Amino acid sequence: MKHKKLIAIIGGVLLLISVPYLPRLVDFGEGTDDQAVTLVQNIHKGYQAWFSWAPELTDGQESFRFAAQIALGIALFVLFLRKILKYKNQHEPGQPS
Amino acid sequence: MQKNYFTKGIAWGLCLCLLPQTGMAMHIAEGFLPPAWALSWHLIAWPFIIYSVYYLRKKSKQQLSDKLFMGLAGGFVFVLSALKLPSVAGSSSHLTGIAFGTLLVGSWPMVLIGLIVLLFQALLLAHGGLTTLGANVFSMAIAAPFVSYGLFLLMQKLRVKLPVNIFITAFLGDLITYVVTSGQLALAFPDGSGASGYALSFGKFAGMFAVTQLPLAVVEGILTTITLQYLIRRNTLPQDSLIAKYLRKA
Repeated sequence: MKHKKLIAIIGGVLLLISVPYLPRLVDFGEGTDDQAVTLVQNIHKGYQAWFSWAPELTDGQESFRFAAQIALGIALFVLFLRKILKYKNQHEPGQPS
Repeated sequence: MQKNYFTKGIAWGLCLCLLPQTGMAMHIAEGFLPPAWALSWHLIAWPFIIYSVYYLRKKSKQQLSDKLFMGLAGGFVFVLSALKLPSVAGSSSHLTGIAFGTLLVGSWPMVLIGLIVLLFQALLLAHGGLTTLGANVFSMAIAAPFVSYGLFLLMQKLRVKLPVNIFITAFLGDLITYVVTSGQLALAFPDGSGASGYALSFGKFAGMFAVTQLPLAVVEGILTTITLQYLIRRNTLPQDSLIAKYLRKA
C-alpha cells in the first residue's frame, strides 16, 4: 500500500510537470482571456481597454508570479490541514484521524 | 504521520513552482467592460462582499475550527485558480476551486475568499482587473458558490451518490463561472440590436468558453472529489458543512 501511494504521488507530480509542456508539441492557440478580448474586438470593431494601470509582465515574470500563487496556496492548504488535524486530535481524541 | 504529510505537501509545492507558467486568467481583463457596466457590477457585488465579511466575523467567533476550514478552502482556491492547464482550444485556462470551498464552508465565506484571490491576481499578476473586479467577483465568487450549493442540495434530494454528487457539483460549478461571464460580456457587447443581439453575443462567448472549459471542468470535478473524499475518510469536515450534513442523513 505504501509503495502504491508513493508511485501514485510520483506519477501525479510527473503528470503535472509534463502537462504544461504540451503546448510545445501542439499549438493550442490563444488562451481564454485573449480569445475573449479578440471576440469583443470582433463584435465591437476597434474596442480598446479604457483603463489600464498594470505594467506588462514578461513571460518569465508572469510564470514566476503564478507559480508563487500556487506555492502559497499549497502552503496554506497544508498548514491549515495540519492545524485542523491537530485541533481534532486535541478536541476529539477518541476519533480516528 | 503529520510530518510526512507536511513534507509531501512541500515537495508538491516545490514541483509546481518549477512548472513554467504563463497564466491566462479566466476573468474579464482590466478595462474591458464599459465604465457603466463595470460600475453596475461593482454595485451588485459589494453588498454580497460586505455581508460575507459580517457572516465570517459572526461564524469565526463560534468555533476555531470554522476559521481553519476557511483557510483550507482559501488555500485550495489559491492553487486551482492559478494552476495553468492546456485546454483543447486555447493555450491555457484555469480552474476555480469554488465548489470545494462551498461544499466545505458554505457559500457566504466563498464570496470573501474569491474576492481575495481576484484582488491578488489583479494587483500582482495583472490578470482580471480593478474596474472589472465587481463583475469577476459576481461570476466566480457569488454566482458559482450559490449555484453549486443549490446543485448539491438538489442532487441530494434526487439521492445521487455522494462522489457523483461532488463531481457534478464541481463540474457545473466551474462552468457556471463561465456562463455568467458570457452573460456579462453579452450584456456589455451585444452583437446587433434587441434581444437577438444579446442572444447572439451570448452564444458566441459561451461557445468560445465551453470548448476551452469543458475538459477543465472535468479535471476540477476529479480533483474536488478526490480531495473531499480524502477529508471524509479522515473524518475531517466542519460539522455544519453540506457534506457532513449529507453523511449524517445517509
